[in-house]
Parts: sequence; structure tokens; C-alpha cells
Amino acid sequence: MSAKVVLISSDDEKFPVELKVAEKSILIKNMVLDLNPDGLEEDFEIPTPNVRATVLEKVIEWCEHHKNTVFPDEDDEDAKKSAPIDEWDKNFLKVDQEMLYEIISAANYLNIRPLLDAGCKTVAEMIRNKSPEELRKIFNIVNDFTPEEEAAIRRENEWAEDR
Amino acid sequence: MKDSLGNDIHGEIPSIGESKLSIDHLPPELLVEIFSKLELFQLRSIRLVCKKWNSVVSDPIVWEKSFRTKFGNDEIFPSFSGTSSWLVEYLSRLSNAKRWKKAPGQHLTYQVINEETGHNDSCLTNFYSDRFLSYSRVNNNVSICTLHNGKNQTFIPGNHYAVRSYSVNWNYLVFGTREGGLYIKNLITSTSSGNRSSVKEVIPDQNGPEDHEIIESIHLSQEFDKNKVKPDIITGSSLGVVSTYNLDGALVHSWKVGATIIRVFSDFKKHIIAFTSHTISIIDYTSHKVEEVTIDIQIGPETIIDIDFGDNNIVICSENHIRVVDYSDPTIFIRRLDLGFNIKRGKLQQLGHRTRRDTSLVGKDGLYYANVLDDDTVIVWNVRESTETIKIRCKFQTEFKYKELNFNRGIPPNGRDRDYTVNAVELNSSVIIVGGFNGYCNVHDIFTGKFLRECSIKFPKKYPYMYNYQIPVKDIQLNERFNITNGIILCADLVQYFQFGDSDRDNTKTEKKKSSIGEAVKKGHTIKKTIKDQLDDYDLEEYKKDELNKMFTKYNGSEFSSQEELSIAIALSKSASSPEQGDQQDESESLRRALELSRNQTISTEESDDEELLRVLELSKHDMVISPTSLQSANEEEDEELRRILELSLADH
Repeated sequence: MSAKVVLISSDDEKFPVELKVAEKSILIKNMVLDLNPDGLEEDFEIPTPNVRATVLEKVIEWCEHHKNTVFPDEDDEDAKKSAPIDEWDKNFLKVDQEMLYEIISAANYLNIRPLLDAGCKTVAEMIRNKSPEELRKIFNIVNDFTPEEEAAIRRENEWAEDR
Repeated sequence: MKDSLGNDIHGEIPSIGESKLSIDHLPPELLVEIFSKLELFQLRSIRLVCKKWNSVVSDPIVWEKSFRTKFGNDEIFPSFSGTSSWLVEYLSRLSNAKRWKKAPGQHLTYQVINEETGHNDSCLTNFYSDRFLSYSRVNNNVSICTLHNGKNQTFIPGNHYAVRSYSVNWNYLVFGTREGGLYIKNLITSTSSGNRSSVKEVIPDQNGPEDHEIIESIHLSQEFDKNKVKPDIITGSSLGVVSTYNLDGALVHSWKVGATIIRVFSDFKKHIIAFTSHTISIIDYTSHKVEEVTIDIQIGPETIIDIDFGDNNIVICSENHIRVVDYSDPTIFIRRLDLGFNIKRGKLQQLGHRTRRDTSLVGKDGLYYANVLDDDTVIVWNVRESTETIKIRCKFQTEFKYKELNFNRGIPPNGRDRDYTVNAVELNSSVIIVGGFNGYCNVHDIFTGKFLRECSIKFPKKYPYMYNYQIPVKDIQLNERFNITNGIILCADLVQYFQFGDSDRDNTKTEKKKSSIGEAVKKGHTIKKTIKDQLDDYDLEEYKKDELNKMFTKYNGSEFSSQEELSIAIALSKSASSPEQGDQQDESESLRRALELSRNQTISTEESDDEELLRVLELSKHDMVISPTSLQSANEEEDEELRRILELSLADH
């Protein structure tokens, strides 16, 4: 039985995972490599103080599912149509907004590029083709502009449109 | 209400006041990450949502940070968008990279009529006016045709001069002979069909065995003086004399510089730069003052020399040494790089239309240079940095996947694996293309050297030599407008035009051509039609140029605040602004327009209007001569071949 990586959530829950799965996180991969240059001999605990257990569980689920996926080179900016979000990821990310942002933050912190991309694309999809009012509603944002400020930006936008 | 993923929005939005994590808790970097997945025009709605979102979109620092994370942290790098906005640079680079990598390609291969051996020494391309010119030094022949399809070929035979040095632009060929002669040939009035081979003798060939002065190097201005008064030709001779001539062939000025001049260059505005085996003479164009610099490497006929006139840098590649001589006043500064292998190729990045360096641009308007080394490694470095030791930006090898070629696989004479041999290189601010044998070319990212795609397709089977012999790629040229992903590959006497993504001009042009042939019932009708078409095309070009110039003037030279800049960026995306138009084409169209507009320099057209008109008429006449023959053949390809044969036979007489 090979040694495992044990991820510890902010609320002290322990998640033992296979190295192959944990390595989807570049942060963890580098950490394991740096601290265990001769390979993992015993279980290796890594605290993730920014990530709650429920979120960590989701992230690990994603890593587990994609443990054999070969992702195209990381700098491939598959924005928009050229590469729609993977169908499984799409369903995986059908969560409430809070969870979505927590997954994005965790993916950013743990440096899991494909998950971060999928998360950001999901949010971008929610933004696409919406009016400012719709956006405030969707994202529950309070309009903090004074009417003057708002008018100024509108003018700038219009000025832009006239060109 | 549901969002595009089918989530029930109302049910899941936490109400105000709850301390749940909302999008507002995400740091600006992640908001940028999200926003950068959207089209440029949608940033307009985003700005109106709240102060934070507005500041994220407007904050140049945020975009600079994202840019640097994505594309690297260099202080100086070439500008893609020609703007000082990180946002525009970032989004336009993303979109361009996508096109290079993913967009479907269109390829068209044609044969350029030249001499029997199918040899071409150099070529000129103008993607804007859709023109191609190739020159073969052995027979002094020039061929000109339409760039994207090889139609309307004009062949100008060389009249058997023993050419020692030459320089060519779209209207003139200037050459020096081994017998010491110097000649100016007007390419507009020379044709294969007439006897009006208008060659002007500036210095006649010398007879007798004694050593005479030979013109070793010529540089001809690309934007020449219509009135033929100002000097447009610079020559350097075996006796160390640098001379300037106007297009009438009159000597304007000359300088005795020293030993045999190996190469001479000029921007025809500020400097003339002449090279001898160990020195560089920098001559002030107006004051005629000469400054001489001694260089620690040997300069010979094989030395690769390029000049960055926009920032006063001279690049010299000799054996395994690279030297960059910065000749800006007041002191001369030399940068160095000594490599483990000898250098076999060198090429300066396409400059686009900027003539002078503009350090206010994103990346401070850097300029890349690529070298191919003897071990077929390609290196890219920046000409416009100021470190004493030149820093290599990226380094890579490429593998060509040769398929269906009959010539023996294996090791070329130099002992290297053929699959890795690089024979030609071309680069712009976003990609570098390397060419191997038989037209095979690979596209790599300029920043990382990462392989993006193959950019050539197999040559048609009707050119069997492309399958039976090993023929190195001679040259690759990219569109001088970086945002249009097209170019040509020159290999022997074949040109392959390639384009990735949509092409508006192609379709309209071919359509026109086809319809004109289809309607051609009567001979006279065709000729009229052809002339009319070409004049129409000419009008259209002029109109486009005019429109562009107007837009340039509008934006030219002014400094924008980041707010204004943003507005412009958004304005530029106007064409994609209606919500229904989300598709890729709109997006690339809007970006293209944005880049076009934001460029600070007007496009310099290399031909004056009158000359262009003259040429159009010339071509039409040319068509007239040949149309009776070509009409008999329904096949357009055959037309071209017949035309070629006809031209060759005419050339022989």
C-alpha cells in the first residue's frame, strides 16, 4: 500500500488521497517533490487553511475524476466557443454561487489550472449578454454608483459607441 | 429565471445581508480571469455594475498583471496591438493566438514563372496590395503576380547580365555587374512582350582584364521619389566608395570610406551605413559626416546583417557571434552574444508599419530577432534591450513530419537528422515560423517557442519534384499586419499562400475573377471586363486606404488617459456590440478593426498612385495580349501555364 497525501481542511477534517490525485494541484505536487525528493514513504499531511471541508471534498472529487485526464498545455486559453466546458465539469459545477466561488478560490490557491478555468468559464457564461441590472440581480451586487457617476460611465460608453 | 447553465437563479441567490461568499469576495485577479473569458464589448455592461467591477475593467495595473502572468515578465517585448493599453494588448493577443492555433487553414499553391531551374533568390510581398515579386540573380529575372493566387503573372527577363549585386523594389531593379556596370531597370515599363526593356545604364560595363571598380552592394529605397531628383539608390564599391544616385541615374553624392565595401544600407532619411571587413561607417544623410566604428568580428559576404532603423541598431551575425551596435548619439554601444554553434540564418522581426520606436507602447515597442544555429536550434532574442550581454528569450527545436516523400529518408550531407533541419525562418510579434524542406513549415509561439501547428499542406502532385527531391524552403513571409494570420512559403519556384481564419478579400476577388471568365463570350467583352475589374479593384484599394488614413489621423499622435483608452477599446469593439452577435467571426472582425484603428502610424504605401495606375493598365494590356489563347481553355490552371509558356517564348526573342 503506497503512502498517501493527507489534506487537512480549515475545519480540521482529514482527507487521505492518492498522490496521483493530489498532484492535480501544482502547489501540492511541488510541495511533495520539494519535501520528499526520494519519493513518498509515509503519509504526508498538507494543511489547506483556506479551504473548508465541503469545498475540499468537491475539489478532491474533481481531481479524482480527472486523475487520468491529460489536459492540453496549460497556456491554451480556450476561452469562448473554441472549447466549451467539459460536460462532466459543467454538471460538476452546477452548484450554488457560494460553492462556485469557493471552488474557484480553492483552485486558484491550490493551483489547479483546468478547474480554475472551468470555474471562471462558468461564471463568464453567467455574465455573457446580460445588462448591468441583470448582472446585479444575478450576482447580488448593490449598485454603489451615485446617479452622476453612473451617468458619467454611460456617457463614456456612448462616446465609445459613437466612434 | 434560469442562467445559461440551467441553474435556477432566484432560488440560489443568497439574499443581501447574509454573510455568504459572493462574487465580490473574489480578488481582482480572479475577476480579471473571469472577465478575460468574455468578449471585449461586454466589458461595457460590466463597468456599469458596481465600482469594483468598473475599477477592475479600467485598472491598467490589473491588466498588466494578468498580461505578465500569461505572457511573461519581460520589460521589453514587441507590441502586438500597437497601443499603450494592456487590456487591448492582452485580449488581442489571446484572440490572435487562438486563430494561429485553432482556425481552419486555407492554402493555395502556385508556380512562379522564372527561369528553367526554378531558382529564386529573394522575394517581396505586399499583403495589402496583394502582390508578390520574386527575383532570380542567375538570370536577373523578375516575376510579379497576385500574392494570394499567383494570377496575373508578369515575367521580366533579365537580358543576360552577370549580376554581382542588386536591390529591388516594386517598381525598380538596380543591379551592379561583375564588369563594374550599374543599371537601373524600370519594372513598370519593362515587359516580356514588348521590346521596351527600359534599362538605364548608369555606369557601363568595363572591358579589359585590369581591375575595375565593382559595385559590391546596392540599397534601393522602398518609398522612392516620383520626380527622380532625391537620391533613392545607395551603392558601395570595391574601392571603398559609397555613392548615392537618383532614379534618373545621376550621381548625387559620394564618399571615400576605406577598404572594399561589403554591404551598404540606408533609411534614406537619417543614415547610410556601410560595412567593410572590420569597420562600420555611419554616414549622416544630411550633414554627410562620417563616423567609423571598428568591430571585433570579421564581416564577409556571407555575414548576416540587419538594420533596425527605427531604434538605431545594427545586427551582425558572423560565425558564432552576434553583435548589436547601437549607433544612437552620442556614443556607440555594442551588445554581444557568443554561441556554441555557428549561425546559419538570421531574421529581424516584421516591423509592421511603425517606422520609429515608440516606447509608450505596451512592451516598450521591443523588436525580436531569430537565429537558426548549425545544430538547428532556433533562438529568439530582443534587439532593443540594453544589456551588454544579449539575453536569449526562447530557444527551441522543431520536428518536421515529412510524409509521402520519395526521396531517401535519413541523414542530409551535413550529418544531421533531416527531420530537424531548419532552412528558413520568419517572425512577427506573436509567432515564429520555421521552414524545413519541400515546403514544410511549423508555427511556434514567439514568447515560449512552443509548437502551435503545421502551417503548410502537401504540394499538389502535379509538381513531382516536390516529392522526388529534397528542396529547402527558401523564404517565408508573414503579413506585415500582425492581426491577419496569413503568409507565404517560397520553395523552389512554388509559392504556397496560407491563411488561418476567415478571409474576406479572397472570396470577393476570386468571385469576381470567375464571373468575368464565365461571362466571357466575346473576346472584346473579356478584355473590357478585365480592365474594368482591375480598375474597380484599384478604386476599392484606394478607398480603403483613404478610409484607413482618415481613421489614423483621428487617433494619430494623441496621448490617451487610461479612461479614454478604455473607451476607445470598447468603441473599437462596436461592431460586435449587439448581443445576438456572439459568434467568433464578429469577434475577430471587431478585434481586427480595433487593432487597425489603434495603430499609431499610417500605412506607408510603397507605390505612388500614378505608378499603381500605370501598373494596372500595364497588366490589363498584358491580359489583352494573352486572352485569345487563354480563352480557348476552360481550365484556369491551364490558362496560367499557357500564359507562362507564352511569356517564356516571348522572352527568348
